[in-house]
Amino acid sequence: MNLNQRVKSISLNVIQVTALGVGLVGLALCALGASIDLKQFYHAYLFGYMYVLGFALGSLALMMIHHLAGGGWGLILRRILESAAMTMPLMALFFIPILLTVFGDMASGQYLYKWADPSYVAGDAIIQEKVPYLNPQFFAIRAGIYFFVWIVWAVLISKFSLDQDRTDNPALAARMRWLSGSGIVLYVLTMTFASVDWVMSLNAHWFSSIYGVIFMVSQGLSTLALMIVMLALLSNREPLSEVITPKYIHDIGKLMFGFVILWAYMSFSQYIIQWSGDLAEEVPYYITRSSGGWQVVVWILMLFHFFVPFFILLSRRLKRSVSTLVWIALFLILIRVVDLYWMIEPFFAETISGFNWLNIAAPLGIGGIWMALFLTLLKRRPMLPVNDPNFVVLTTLRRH
Amino acid sequence: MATPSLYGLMAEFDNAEAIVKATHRAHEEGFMDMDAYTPFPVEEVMEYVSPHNTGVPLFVLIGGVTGALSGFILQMIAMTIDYPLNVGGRPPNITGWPSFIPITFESGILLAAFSAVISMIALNGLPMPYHPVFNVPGFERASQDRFFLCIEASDPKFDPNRTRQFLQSLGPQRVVEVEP
Repeated sequence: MNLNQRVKSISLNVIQVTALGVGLVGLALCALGASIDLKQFYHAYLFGYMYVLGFALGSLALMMIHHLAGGGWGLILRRILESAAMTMPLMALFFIPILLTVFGDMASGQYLYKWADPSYVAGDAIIQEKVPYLNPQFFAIRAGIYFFVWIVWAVLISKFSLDQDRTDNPALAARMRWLSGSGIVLYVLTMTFASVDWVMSLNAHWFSSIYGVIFMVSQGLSTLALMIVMLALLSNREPLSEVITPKYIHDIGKLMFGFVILWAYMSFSQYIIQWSGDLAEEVPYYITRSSGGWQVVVWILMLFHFFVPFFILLSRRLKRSVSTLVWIALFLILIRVVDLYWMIEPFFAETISGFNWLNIAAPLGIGGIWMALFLTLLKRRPMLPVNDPNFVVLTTLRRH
Repeated sequence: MATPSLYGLMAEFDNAEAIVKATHRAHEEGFMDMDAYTPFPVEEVMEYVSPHNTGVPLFVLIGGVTGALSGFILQMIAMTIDYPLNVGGRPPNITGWPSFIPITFESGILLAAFSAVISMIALNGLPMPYHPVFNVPGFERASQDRFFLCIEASDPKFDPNRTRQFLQSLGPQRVVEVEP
């Protein structure tokens, strides 16, 4: 049995073609929507973009964490994570429309970010103080830095990992560890600033220092859920079927369980701090999000983003079988959309009734193209890093 | 009173891989009452010898839910019924529930952790001053460099001669009888 092989799966090809189709239709609908209502298009586009970015960035972060922390679960996921992280150039490309909005109005005096509108800033003393940070040029430079870091780290780690497959050079493991250590620090910094720039600054009066962490934890959760879906597709095929045991599924299930709790912890921490503080700059965030119909979403999130998955994932038996775990994972991938919509959309709409079909077309459009690229990259590389110094744990002491 | 003359049969191995193979074979033979003693945790062995339904998870769940509920109710009674106190503008009624959550969380964790430790000790049958496996000479090497597999006489498939032959067939260092 050659473990160092690529996966051949009919279902992957089907998903890839479907994703590409969905993506193209979604983007076409976005273009149509943009010609009807450019403002609505941009709101939906930003929301869809942040959702899909979560999978790519979460994969990069999880991959780096595994290089530092080790463990059999990550050796199984490594190539899937690398493929997802390598989609980062595509995400940079998808960012261009958002970048353009800060340099000019998107539709007759309408700006995606109000701080980019000179006439708005002229009448707002608070934003005037923030102009040294919140100005189009610096915004673009910062975005360039974020993408530079994400792309360079993803490409280098992934390249070294493939080199390791070919050459078995022992120095590569240390090099990837060094990159991952610095990469994790840079990821936390860039993601914190990116969440400030791209989402928090939609209301430039509001601030929260935990905002970036909420995004990071959410990205980790999205990614782990996606990984479980991928394992459900791949674990009964060679070469993964040769090394996967319930123990690894259990480990990944436990990690996802942990991230469900961490999401609730972070989201609630921000709420309780701002609710207790009761400051005029802070509370509007939650007042908007708990009125005008948005309060229904709060209950949905509390129930279905925390309590229901929490109590279901307590079960050990469920976490050890990928065929049951995959349903929870798919559900979490779906509920992530709801959470992100609730975080972003109220910046634009006071009431929930303004739901626009573009909010479905944009995530599907960006996500479909992303998925197609991700699967293309995945099929191109060997599924298992057989020359990793720790790979031996997957092949010895297994079931005999 | 007729005491059983044998607690079980114990095979000694000198490497982890051998005991993984041995436990797997014994599992395939259909032995249920067996235990392995190793100097470090060997996960593949645990799969076959440790009871999957220990009962501890249920106690932890009950403990956690009880802790969280009692923590929440305690604060609710204190803050909304007995001593309604307006702290920093937060309403002294049930709409102030977010401020109860940190304590609810902590008391839930506290009782869950206590129930985990206490139920683990109780269900393990600890404290246990006497255990037959220590009658085996050289058994102390189970915490140094040897791996032991003990098939207990209480197993329905246990037969002193055939089980001994079976254990011998696994290629152990030696097979010894364990006195009760």
